[in-house]
Amino acid sequence: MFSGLVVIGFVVFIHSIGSLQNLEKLPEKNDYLWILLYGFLSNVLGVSPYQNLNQYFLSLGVLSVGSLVLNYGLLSVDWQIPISSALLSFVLNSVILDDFYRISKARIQDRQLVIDQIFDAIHNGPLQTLARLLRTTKESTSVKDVRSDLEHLNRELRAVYEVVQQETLPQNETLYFCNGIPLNLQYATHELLHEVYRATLMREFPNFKTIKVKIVSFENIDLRLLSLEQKRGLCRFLEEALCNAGKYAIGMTRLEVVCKLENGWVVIRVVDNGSGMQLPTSHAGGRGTLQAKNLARQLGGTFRRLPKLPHGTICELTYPVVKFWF
Amino acid sequence: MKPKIVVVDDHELVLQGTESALKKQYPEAELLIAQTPQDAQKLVEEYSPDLVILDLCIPKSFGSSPHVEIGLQFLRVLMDHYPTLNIAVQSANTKSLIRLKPQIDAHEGGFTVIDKSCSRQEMLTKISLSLQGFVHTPKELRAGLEIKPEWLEVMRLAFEEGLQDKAIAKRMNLSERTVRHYWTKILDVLDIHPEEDYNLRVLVKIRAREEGLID
Repeated sequence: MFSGLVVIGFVVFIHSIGSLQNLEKLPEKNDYLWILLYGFLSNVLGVSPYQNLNQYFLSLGVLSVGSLVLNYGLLSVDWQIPISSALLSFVLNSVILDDFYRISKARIQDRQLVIDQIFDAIHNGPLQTLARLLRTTKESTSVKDVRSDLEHLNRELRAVYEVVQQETLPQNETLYFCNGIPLNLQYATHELLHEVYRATLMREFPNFKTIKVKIVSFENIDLRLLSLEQKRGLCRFLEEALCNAGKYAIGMTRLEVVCKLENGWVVIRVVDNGSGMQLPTSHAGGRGTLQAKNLARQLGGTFRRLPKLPHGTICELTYPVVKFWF
Repeated sequence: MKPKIVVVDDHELVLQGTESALKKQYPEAELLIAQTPQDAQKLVEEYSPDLVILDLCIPKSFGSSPHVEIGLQFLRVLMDHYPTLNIAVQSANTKSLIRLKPQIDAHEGGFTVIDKSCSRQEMLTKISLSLQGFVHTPKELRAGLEIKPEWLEVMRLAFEEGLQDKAIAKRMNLSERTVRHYWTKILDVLDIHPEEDYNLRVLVKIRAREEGLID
């Protein structure tokens, strides 16, 4: 708002100087009123909600042309208004204000992104360990197991700061797993996902130990270019899906991990044959599910988690190879 | 057999060792030597060799220092451009190949990995396997028993429905060549390697049943 007033003041000043030079026509009160009116109109335009920038500039254009037509009409009835100064005030104000709003909006988005990244780092690392720990203490009382898990938890929590710092560096192209393995996000998506798969399966989940066969397929899915942020999201999704299998698919002997193209859709699927949908009910709206749903929506696809017959769970994220623009 | 073999290596001593071993084993072979990825690619393009023996640690250009990343990048290009080329990779650290695992799985030519510390005889065995289009990868490349869905389907159709390769190809909408190639992948995954006196398909059936891959 302040910038808007500065612009209006600036235009008023220019207008009065221009008028002083032209002594035949002194600035009238009405002139300033017009300039002020247009200045405030642009402020209103700036704070109105827009779907995108194109809409904003379109309305800017329509109003400017409308003003010129109005000016022409008023001229025919011998009403002269300082249209150039008023329009200058209007356009300058709109463009500057627009920058202002965009910057503040981007700042809020950045902050939200950092918060999300912190939570993701905690959720995919220490919270998983904690869940395992709680389970271990319920089932066995081996102090050694508990101790090693606690030490792991300690390391993970201490690493969160580094992880988040690395992830929020500008133009950061590296994804850090909770076990500290760095991944270059510039790699092809299927290669990244393959590394995530390998690294996650090395983690100490009890249900990973019973797996006999892994049915694995990682095909090139980079027909649609993804942003680094989206690639990061896919990696997190796979990590989360595998962790869930590791935690809940009790007695799993077969694990299927597929990343491929199917009829124009990219499919990333994790299927286990463990003891079915063991996810606690509270998990339906859990963080992992929310992350996956958000990612699916962003990519124009869907996320599903459903039981597999006779037993097991299917966790799947699909999105179209061709990006729809609506 | 008069194979055309391209050897990519920049280390004189290693190169001499490989060359003399190859000459002894394949006296009629045509050996072509390249030291950089660029030269190697030219040779492959020009001569379409039966086998490329690639050291992963090579320099980008003459005189610059060799690096595994350069070899890996070149291997990726080779597999991209020549999907049926037989390749034998030489490396001191075979784990570095893990990143290319999805591409190696999809590669349709022979593919073997020669550990630099292995004996000459072992090296020649791997070279011969690759020349014949077989696959032999080190265990570090696999996280336990890992199998692609298509390979599993080939085994199911063969052992549960008793189909021949031609019928399997038709059913799966693939070329017969691809089905045969899938069998070489299956052999490697199940750790079965060609030996005289053994029927490989029967061995696969026994092993697959043991592992619970088929009923």
